[in-house]
Amino acid sequence: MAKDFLTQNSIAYTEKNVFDDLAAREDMIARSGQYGVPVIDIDGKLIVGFERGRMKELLGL
Amino acid sequence: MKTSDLIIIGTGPAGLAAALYAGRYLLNTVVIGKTFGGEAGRAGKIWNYPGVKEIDGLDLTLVMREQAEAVGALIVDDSVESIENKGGCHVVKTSEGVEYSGKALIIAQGAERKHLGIVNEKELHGRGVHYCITCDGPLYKDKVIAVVGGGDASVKGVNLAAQYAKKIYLIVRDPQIVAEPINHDEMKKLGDKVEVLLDTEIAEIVGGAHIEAVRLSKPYNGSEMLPLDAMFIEIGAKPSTVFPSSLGVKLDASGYIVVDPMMQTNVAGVYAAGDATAFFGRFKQNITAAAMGAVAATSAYSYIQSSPHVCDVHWKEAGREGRTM
Repeated sequence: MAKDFLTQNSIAYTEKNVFDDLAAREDMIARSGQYGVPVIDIDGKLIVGFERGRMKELLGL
Repeated sequence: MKTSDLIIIGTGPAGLAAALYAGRYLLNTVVIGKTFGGEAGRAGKIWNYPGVKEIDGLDLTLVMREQAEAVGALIVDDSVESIENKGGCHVVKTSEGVEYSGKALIIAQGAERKHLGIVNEKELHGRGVHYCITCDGPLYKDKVIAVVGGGDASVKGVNLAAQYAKKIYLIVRDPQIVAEPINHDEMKKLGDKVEVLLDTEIAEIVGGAHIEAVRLSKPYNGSEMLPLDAMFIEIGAKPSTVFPSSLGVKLDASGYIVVDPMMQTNVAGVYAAGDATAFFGRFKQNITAAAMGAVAATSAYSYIQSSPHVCDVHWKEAGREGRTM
């Protein structure tokens, strides 16, 4: 749903599959301090889970 | 304020099936839900939805969404802040401040996952303590995990986790597992990879930055401490009572909405469907949710047809006065 939200709002994003990409997984765990997905990085600010309101705030929507 | 004939709370199978039927009844319908797909969206592979041989739960609900939208339903991905009855209208306000008014309301908001309610559970959520094995399970490849719960969801979770976990402990409070026999048989085929601990509860979750172990209610292999890399809690759900209570909707002793065979509650124009009710007792499935949604929409349609002046709203748009549908 996070990807749909970004696409609907014409926001470009890079997706990393933390299940297959070990380096991406370790980076996610190190930076977010936890294992839950998705973790969304918007200009260095992290959101764990799909939080529509917070994403709109950080994206200026 | 946006007006409609019918407002549906919940975007799982109950809500989406209701929206499909409502759309085919030519009802102006709005469906509002925070977590699209509900429990079905997180269920992983589904094999027992008649007409579909095998499908991912999220994909199933996406098809339902397409069907509902094709007949005119408006799906709003947002959470509900409040529901009130104002002059015969059901007014729903979302967390983004948008208000929707409808002649009839279907509550299909599902139920929330139960927590164990023990020490460190909240603190370690996401740090080895999880509630969705399809979401977070694959992160624990070659690790030792526990799945807590003795029902079908936990057994399916074990079967899924076996694809990547090194070892799985299924911790069951009761003396037996209650799961679909076909799923239970699949789990038995996993052999020593899965250890089933019956009559056992989690007394404590131990860990600092991440889970390290759980303390069991009784010893296993001589010790109460079971070292783990993660645990997945699948102990069922409890209904949310906030909105039903605000409307005066009758609830049963467990907080589920009481409905009659046509999904009617004790409040005129208010219906309920899916896991927010206990109409089929503990048997909660996508098929029962969808069926209840269809019935609720049919009842809402009959109500609106027989009460044409309920929630009359007069509005102006660009200088034109009119009546909502």
